[in-house]
Amino acid sequence: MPSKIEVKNISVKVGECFIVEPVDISLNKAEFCFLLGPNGSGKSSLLKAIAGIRQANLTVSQESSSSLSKAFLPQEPEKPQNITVRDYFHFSRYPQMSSYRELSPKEFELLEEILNDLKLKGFEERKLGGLSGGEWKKVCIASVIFQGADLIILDEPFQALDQVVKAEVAKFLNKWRKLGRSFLIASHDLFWSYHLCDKVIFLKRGHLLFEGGKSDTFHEETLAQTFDIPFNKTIAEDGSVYFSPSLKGIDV
Amino acid sequence: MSKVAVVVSVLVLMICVLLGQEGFLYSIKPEVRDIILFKLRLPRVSLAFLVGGSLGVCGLVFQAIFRNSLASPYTLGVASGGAFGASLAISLGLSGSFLFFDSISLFAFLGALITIAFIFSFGYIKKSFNPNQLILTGVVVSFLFSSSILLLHFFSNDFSAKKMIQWTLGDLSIVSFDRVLHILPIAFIGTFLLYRKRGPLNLLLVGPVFAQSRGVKVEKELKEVFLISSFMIGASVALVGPISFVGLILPHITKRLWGVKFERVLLPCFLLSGLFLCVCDLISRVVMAQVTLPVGIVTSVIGAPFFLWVLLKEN
Repeated sequence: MPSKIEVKNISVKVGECFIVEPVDISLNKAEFCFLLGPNGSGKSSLLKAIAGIRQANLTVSQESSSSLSKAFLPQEPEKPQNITVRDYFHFSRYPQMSSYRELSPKEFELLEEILNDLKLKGFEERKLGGLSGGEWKKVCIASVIFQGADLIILDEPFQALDQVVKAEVAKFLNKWRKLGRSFLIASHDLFWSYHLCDKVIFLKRGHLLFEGGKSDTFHEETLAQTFDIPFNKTIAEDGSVYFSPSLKGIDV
Repeated sequence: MSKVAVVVSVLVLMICVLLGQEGFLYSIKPEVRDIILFKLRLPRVSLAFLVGGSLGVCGLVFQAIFRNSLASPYTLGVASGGAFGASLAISLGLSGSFLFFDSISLFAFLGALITIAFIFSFGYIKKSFNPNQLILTGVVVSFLFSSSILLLHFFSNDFSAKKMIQWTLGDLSIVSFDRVLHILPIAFIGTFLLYRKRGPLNLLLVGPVFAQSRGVKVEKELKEVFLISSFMIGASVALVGPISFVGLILPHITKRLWGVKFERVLLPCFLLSGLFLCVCDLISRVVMAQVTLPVGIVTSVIGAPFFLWVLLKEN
């Protein structure tokens, strides 16, 4: 895998109108890059464009090498009811097969490890239709890692997860980052975005507002400018950092 | 697939060949018996098996790529295109054969292929191969052809009208080994090619975005799969008419028994669908004395209650 991943001059358009203005995105090997911004700011469109997913009516232009292997988790992945978890993982590994085949013993070991990490052991024979929202999300995240790509693109991986599972997922993703994977993640979860990120990008109405390392860029002012409301930063005794919107002007 | 399944299928096929209105043929002169067995029943059963298998496999594939359990081989209008071709040939009073095909079959085959070509070009013009849109186009094209067939009915005499209706009910009665030889390569090569696409088909079963994000060239695969299955469906419809139900229900039953993965379910689906049509054909031959019912009626009359029973048993 290259030491630096670069997507240059990528833009998304409907007709002549930009959904996402041309941006360059670069991240290093083994890095978390978080994409933050209000609803409708173009995060999902941008992620899909980078992942190379066709979007109806949208045109994507970019100047980057397509040789890079990418895995992509959409915000709402397709969920066929009667496929088993095991088969879902089998199909997810397809990019690593020169021609379609069964999983190798080595791949089974990898799968065991991934399932153990996310406490999904024993789910293998369950049908996807029988999973709860959170279980399904974990299966999706696990399958995207199992795919074995260099760049992993996640759209809202923390959505629908309880606090404990969020922490599990964060730990799991961090483990794979340490193993050399790069992540590009869109999220509304400011707590985990802050604690995981190496790099952050703020997007607003399809326009790149701020971009940079955690300490320079991830603070109250950038958040306030992105979301148009004031933010408070609280640091707990254990070092946890919380960003919360200010209650000023909100009657609760 | 287990050996048991193969043995059972061979047994069923043999019974289908041996049984008929004439009984077990003990008391008949050997020459007549040979004619009945080898010139009439064997080609008929082979044709039913190959057509049933092709329709079942195509139904399975269509249900996967449209991710719609109501999809059948006829969803894209191939059957009505074929029926229109056949009706046209009948109303023009065409007879005789061309390149070893009789003119009705030839027209039906062309009708089927023209339909699929039309739906393809529609996709090209719209620059999208969205499954929902394809279904919608197929349904509209079906209506167009159905009313064109009714128009032909309206202007035709009683004899041709009856012939058209008989054709659209599905008919295995005009059988010779020629017809078996027409569909044999298409059924086998088609099934083989679809089996080779089991990987992409499995991923498409999950969804187009899933498949695309795992490196499947979705549009290319869809086009190729449509092309292969169109030939299989077109040939089936051309030779025996649009036999209903096999391509809709048998895929469901095989999926219940063998799961959804194509490597496991494709060949059993061919086998089971083929056997189902053979058994329906047997019933159509023996249920009434002196009369052979159109097999398309039997498939629905037997198939519908059976499938309802399967649905009831399932929790």
